[in-house]
Amino acid sequence: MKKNIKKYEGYIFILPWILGFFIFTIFPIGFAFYIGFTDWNSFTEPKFIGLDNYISLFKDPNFLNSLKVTVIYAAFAIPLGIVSSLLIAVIVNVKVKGIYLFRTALYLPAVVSGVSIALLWRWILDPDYGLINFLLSYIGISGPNWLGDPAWVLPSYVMMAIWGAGGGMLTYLAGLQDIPRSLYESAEIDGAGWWTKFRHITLPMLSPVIFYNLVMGIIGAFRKFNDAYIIGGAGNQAQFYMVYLYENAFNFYKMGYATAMAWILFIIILLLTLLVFKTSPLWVFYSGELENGKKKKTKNKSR
Amino acid sequence: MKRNFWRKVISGVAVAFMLTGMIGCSDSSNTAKEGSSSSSNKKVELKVGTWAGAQELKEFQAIVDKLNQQAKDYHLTIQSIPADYYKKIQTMAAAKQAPDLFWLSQEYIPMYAKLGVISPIDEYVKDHPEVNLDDYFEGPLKIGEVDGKLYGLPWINQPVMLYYNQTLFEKYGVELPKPNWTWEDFRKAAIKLTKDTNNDGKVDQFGTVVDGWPPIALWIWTYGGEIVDKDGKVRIDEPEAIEGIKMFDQLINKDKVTPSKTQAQNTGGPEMFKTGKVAMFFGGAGDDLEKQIGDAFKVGMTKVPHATKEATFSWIAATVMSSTTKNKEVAAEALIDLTNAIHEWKILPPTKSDLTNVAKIRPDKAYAIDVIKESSTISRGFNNQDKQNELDTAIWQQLYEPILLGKKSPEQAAKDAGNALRKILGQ
Amino acid sequence: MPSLTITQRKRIQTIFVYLFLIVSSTATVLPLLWMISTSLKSGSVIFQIPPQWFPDSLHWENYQRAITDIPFFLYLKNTVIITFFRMIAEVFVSALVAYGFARFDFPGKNIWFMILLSTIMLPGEITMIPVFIMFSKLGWINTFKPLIVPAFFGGQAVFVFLLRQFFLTIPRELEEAALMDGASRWQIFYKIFLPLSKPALVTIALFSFQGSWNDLLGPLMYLNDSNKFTLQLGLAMFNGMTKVEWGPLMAASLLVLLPTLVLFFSLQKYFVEGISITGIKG
Repeated sequence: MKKNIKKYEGYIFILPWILGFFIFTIFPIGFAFYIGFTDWNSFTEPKFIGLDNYISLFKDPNFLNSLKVTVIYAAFAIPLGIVSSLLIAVIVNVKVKGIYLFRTALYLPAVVSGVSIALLWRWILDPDYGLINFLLSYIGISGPNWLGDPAWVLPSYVMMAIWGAGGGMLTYLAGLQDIPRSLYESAEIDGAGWWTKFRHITLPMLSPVIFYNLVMGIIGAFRKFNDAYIIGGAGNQAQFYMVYLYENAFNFYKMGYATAMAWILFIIILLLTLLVFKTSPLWVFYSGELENGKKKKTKNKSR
Repeated sequence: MKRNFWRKVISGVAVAFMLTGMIGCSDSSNTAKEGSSSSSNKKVELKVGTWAGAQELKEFQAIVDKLNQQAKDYHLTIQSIPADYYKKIQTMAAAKQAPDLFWLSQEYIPMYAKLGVISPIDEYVKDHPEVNLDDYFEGPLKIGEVDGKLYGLPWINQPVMLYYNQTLFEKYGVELPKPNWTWEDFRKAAIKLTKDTNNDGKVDQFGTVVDGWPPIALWIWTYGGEIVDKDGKVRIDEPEAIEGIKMFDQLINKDKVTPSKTQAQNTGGPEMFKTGKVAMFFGGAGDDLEKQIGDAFKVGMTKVPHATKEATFSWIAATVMSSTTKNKEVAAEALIDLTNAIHEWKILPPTKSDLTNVAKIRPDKAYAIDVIKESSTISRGFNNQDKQNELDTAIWQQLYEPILLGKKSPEQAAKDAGNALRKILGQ
Repeated sequence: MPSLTITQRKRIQTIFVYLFLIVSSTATVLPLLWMISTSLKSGSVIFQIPPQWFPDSLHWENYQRAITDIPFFLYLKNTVIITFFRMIAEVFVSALVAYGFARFDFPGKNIWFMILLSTIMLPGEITMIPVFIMFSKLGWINTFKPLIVPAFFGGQAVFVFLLRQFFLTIPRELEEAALMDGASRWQIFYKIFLPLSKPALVTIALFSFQGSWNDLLGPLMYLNDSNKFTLQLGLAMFNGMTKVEWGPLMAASLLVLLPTLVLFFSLQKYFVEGISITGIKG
């Protein structure tokens, strides 16, 4: 009997969230679920139209194109973002003079005003006066019209994403603090070099944080909106999914259509996340397994 | 010690809970107070939605304060919406909580009217001593009309004018723009002023700038065409409209008197004009270009060129009344008083009588008051449809941008745009 | 044996680290420099490509206008109140929920966790109207409640997820030993898990601070009375009817940015390699 109650002890801790879910979240989501099957201008009564929104979406070239643009962007931005944030975190995780200041500088992309970032990138990418094309001209390359040429818009955005990678270093930095020093020390005694230590200690120990950033990276890349909306670039050929969704919801007042788009995006993200979760036992390493500084593979008890 | 720390955190959270509760309480007592004070004065409480910001908001507050002092039956409260104005209005209206009075830019009026968000005001405006509909310029008044009913009174009418850099014209000995200019005259002057001033092989001074602004309607209307006519029929691919689009294309792609799209968008058209890189600029009559340019060069202003018909696009916004406001008669009264008061503000008013005051309110515009008046007479908005935003997007995607990038012929662009518009309007 | 001694190797390493730090932080500091330079410029010389980094004359009055054109200190007070409560709730409640997900096996756990993650996946744009309707039915519009209260019910799903990841790396042995000593689950949570996860909690505290300090949409939707506005709404006001006041806007933006930078800088002490927990873990 007592054991049965004990089984549910965890609910006490997640209770605040469950309450919050039922109080604040379930109604809006349920509402949105229904709206996806309606024609709704957001003012008059929603008109039920069954699957029409979903059917017409797959016939809508703007929708298909925005999906394509976003998928391509995600394919590059997610891995590049993770790798560059991770590397930055590893590099700035040192005790040298002025490191606080350097870290603050690298974190700036996550805090300064979006407008100043947008303007700055417009300058950097300007075909005639831009910084990049200026540097390229030194080595005899005449640079492209970055934001003006549909072929170069996505690379431009990927570049911006890498530039902002410092904003993502924080979670890795926190994770690095949890890696016991003694692991590195004993590895050094065994004569391990930088790469070996990184590959066999840092990476596995950080894998739970990488996992988090991978999932959040998927969500973030597919829901990319802000700079895409501010900077723009090469017309609707490079329109991101969320920008098109936003346009339908708040410019065209096609709430039903936009909501259907949101659900499709939701399903895509959900499937990818589930996939990541399914593969996680293969590469994510939760260290209940660490004993006395030695690695010992045991079954992860917590999952 | 650690234990103490977390104890503090926990008690902090507990206090936080209590304080949040108190904030809630004090809020409700506040509203209760407001409620009682208004009922004792027997004044109808009305909210006014506005996108005015910072300093403008203070000026607007002064206008409203003055009205509140004079008014017997209403009390206005400003509801400032400093960002995402239409998103918030849309959300509030969806929850039936739109402000009693608010501002709408012309392209939103038909949709808000047809979906029942705003109320017609004909019965209140008719025979009202403070409203003289004949005093309004025709163009701005018309944008408030939907299906024969009047849904709002315009408070601003900013016709597009042709600003020019007089110093630059004189330097190259080009004849200054005149109010009766045709597009051919404009074209010739623009060609003369497009130059590579430092001989590096790149053009760095342009006759004009077209980068998404001004709207294509400026050409289509002045060639006697229409994009969508009053009855909602698509006419963008008819011969007159195509003539206008051809001139638009001529300037951009054949004469190349404008900077490239990226160049213009990176720097911004007004910026290029202000820094002397562009000789002629299409700007709103109320833009404070003169102030910003200062003594850098001499600025002139005249009517936009035309071909077969005089017309100019105008940026127009109106005060409208929410259909959920409780006392429509009083709300309409307030709408009229407020709009009249705004006409005397520093903006360009949509009424003939108030326009004569502009020289006083805006001394920087005094030199051009006559052409502004003439432009106001020929100024107009779109024949807005309830799907105006979709139409505008389609025109940009099918016509404006492809021509800007030199990817479509005018005929093809007109045809594609026509088809896209018909599809949206279900024709 | 390597030909270089360990000290030599360390020295070369340090040089490379500095090189990287200098190059990359030069790139990231540019927007801030542009903001500073713009905050001192007059209206007419702001947008230029390439940018003009040094203003011809310094317009300090932009800072004067930044705090007088809008009721800066009133908005600061409102922002501080909202941020304070939200931060406490988001950090503490998220940790509680994360502990529940990380350390208990209860029926339905995985489903609940996927539901939690799902709430981050659905774009908020489409639930905005129903959420607004819900809060207005509760009578919460034009109060701080929609901005604060939900945080007490479940914190932030993102933070729960991040903390769960950290809690999962804490060895079970610690907890089992404490249980053996008769500690309750609650005591284990706040005596072992919270102190052991300081870097993660600090990260979340910073994210939470930034989230509510920079939140524009929430206050915009739920607050009507301009006396209740926050700093972000104040910044938006510089974008006026006819033009954007860039100078004062950037001056005010810098003032608003300052606390975040100071906070980030001072929280660095929690990110100094390996002091906090090696003793326990290693």
